[in-house]
Amino acid sequence: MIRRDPRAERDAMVVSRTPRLRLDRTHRGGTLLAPAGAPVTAPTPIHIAEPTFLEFAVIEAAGGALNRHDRQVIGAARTLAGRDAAVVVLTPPLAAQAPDAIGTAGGDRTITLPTPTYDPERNAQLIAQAIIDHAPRHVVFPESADGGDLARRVAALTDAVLFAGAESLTPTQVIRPAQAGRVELRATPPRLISIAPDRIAPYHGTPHAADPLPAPDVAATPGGIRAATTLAVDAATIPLDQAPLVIAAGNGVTDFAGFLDLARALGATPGASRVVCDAGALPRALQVGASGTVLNAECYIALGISGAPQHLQGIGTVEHIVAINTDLHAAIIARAGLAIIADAQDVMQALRAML
Amino acid sequence: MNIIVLLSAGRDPHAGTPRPVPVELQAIALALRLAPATTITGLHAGEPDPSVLDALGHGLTTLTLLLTNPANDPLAALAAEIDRARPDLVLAGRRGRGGTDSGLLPYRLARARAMPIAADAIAIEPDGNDLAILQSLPRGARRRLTLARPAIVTIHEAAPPARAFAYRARRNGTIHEKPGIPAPSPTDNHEIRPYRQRPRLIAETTQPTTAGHLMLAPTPETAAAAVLAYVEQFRRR
Ligand SMILES: Cc1cc2nc3c(=O)[nH]c(=O)nc-3n(C[C@H](O)[C@H](O)[C@H](O)COP(=O)(O)OP(=O)(O)OC[C@H]3O[C@@H](n4cnc5c(N)ncnc54)[C@H](O)[C@@H]3O)c2cc1C
Ligand SMILES: Nc1ncnc2c1ncn2[C@@H]1O[C@H](COP(=O)(O)O)[C@@H](O)[C@H]1O
Repeated sequence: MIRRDPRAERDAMVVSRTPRLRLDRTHRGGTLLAPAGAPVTAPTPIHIAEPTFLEFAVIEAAGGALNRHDRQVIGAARTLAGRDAAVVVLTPPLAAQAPDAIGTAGGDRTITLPTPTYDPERNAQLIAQAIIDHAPRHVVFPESADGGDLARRVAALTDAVLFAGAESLTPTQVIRPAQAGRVELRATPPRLISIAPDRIAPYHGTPHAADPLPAPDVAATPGGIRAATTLAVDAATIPLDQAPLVIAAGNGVTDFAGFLDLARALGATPGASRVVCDAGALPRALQVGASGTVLNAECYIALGISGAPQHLQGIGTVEHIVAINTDLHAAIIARAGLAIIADAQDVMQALRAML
Repeated sequence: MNIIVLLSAGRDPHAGTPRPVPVELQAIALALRLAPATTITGLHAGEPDPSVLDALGHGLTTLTLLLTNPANDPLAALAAEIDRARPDLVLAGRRGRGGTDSGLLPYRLARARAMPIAADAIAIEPDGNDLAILQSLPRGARRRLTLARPAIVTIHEAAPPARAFAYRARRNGTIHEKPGIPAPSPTDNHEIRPYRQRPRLIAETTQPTTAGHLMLAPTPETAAAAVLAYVEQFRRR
């Protein structure tokens, strides 16, 4: 639990004390703008040159980028490592635009697993070899579909017990549910741990410097999985709460037939704000927000949506937001990773023409 | 095709009373789509637990019980029985419900018997000498795998529903009891407590995220190109 500290909160609100006390009560945490002239310096990354021991974090990095769960896995390994140990992140090849993502998430070393296609048998062999080479104290996996599968393969291969789906983790204790969720098991962290999503906090401190380590070297043996193909799914048929990419129309959109056509062309699942559903322009089932559907998407495109609190609740866990709005001061602009101040109709047409 | 369905002693999540594990019943239903009921056997290592015997009411006709102490490690007993029965396919639940629920047993068995394993199947078809498996992934995605036979496949909750319970079938099912191989389970120095619900991480709704990229009044074409480039970055391939 985090306790409130009213004095610290008040101190944080102080804008100036002379000639009179001025408080900024709209301020929502974080730091105030530095006074003009003060140089803004990025913190120097933490470099752990001679770690006392190693911790492994095995991430999924689907599509070459870290997702929330991946960062939680690195955060868990960081917690186990403390200050003197190094977190080694084992990852599939990352996209070029995310080189320092590992360091920001709290990793000190990276081992890139050179597996071009889906091959969990091979990946498990490589990780088992890396465990032999580096003797980490713990190996943390995400308890996701592919991450959980890989964790179990590594456990079987190394003949170790997997502490599956941990919901709480400290350097001295891990906890997970068992017996149909009726009891919980507590133990000192065993070597292999997988963590449930959204339970263990990611690392938010000063970024670390992540240096590459060579990939483990082990001869490939033919596996039992002969072929694997990921099937294309029709975005329109994915339930809104599972869709990876959602494009939503708000009150700033007037051409709804064009909007649905764009969603289809983009391969995105369509959504809408409440105002649009109330007006009957789009079906109620598409409503995103507190009284609609809460999304689990990776990426969200908001066309002409102001970003009311009830709407933002529906996209609370979405990390990558594109907002297209004519109003620079709309709340959604502050939430967006890419904010475009333009007419939604024009951008929609230009987008449709490009696809 | 000779199929073994692994059954574990399930418990009701609320009452704690014996109740079959739903995904294992779904595994029986999938097996019945693949092969006639006479070639499908249920297999359990432990006690004649009511939850396991109830599987006979859900479409299974024969059940082999390897009698061991339920606290024992079932691996050795199951591996020996698989060596004897030589199945083409072994089906299991993706997680048990009532024991340690770690979903590890099928993987250990696959390793012990050098069989390939695939997880989270929702459909299985024979494909020549191989098996074609349809895997369920999060976010509505699907993956098709080709797996060499004999193989172990775990079943996902999104698989077709289980058959309804029929009391007569439960009564008439054949049960073979054999002594199992006692083996101590891997030492677990766990402390067991009643489950306590812990909060999930709160969504970062009101916090402005790290400064994003802002484009002021771009031409529609530049804006559209920027949106596409941004979206492609995060789209799953
Ligand atoms: C109890 C309760 C529950 C609610 N639940 C929900 C919910 O689940 N989901 C939900 O969405 N809302 C919900 N609301 C409503 C919410 O408070 C807002 O009213 C609603 O989200 C606003 O929708 P909007 O942003 O589309 O419309 P507006 O607030 O009208 O915003 C329109 C935006 O479009 C911009 N715009 C206008 N023209 C253009 C143009 N040509 N190009 C680009 N941009 C343009 C404007 O600048 C403005 O920012 C709820 C409200 C209450 C009281
Ligand atoms: N004692 C057992 N006998 C037979 N099958 C079992 C046994 N325990 C587990 N299984 C199988 O392994 C799956 C995963 O179980 P678990 O590893 O306990 O979560 C279950 O769904 C069963 O199919």
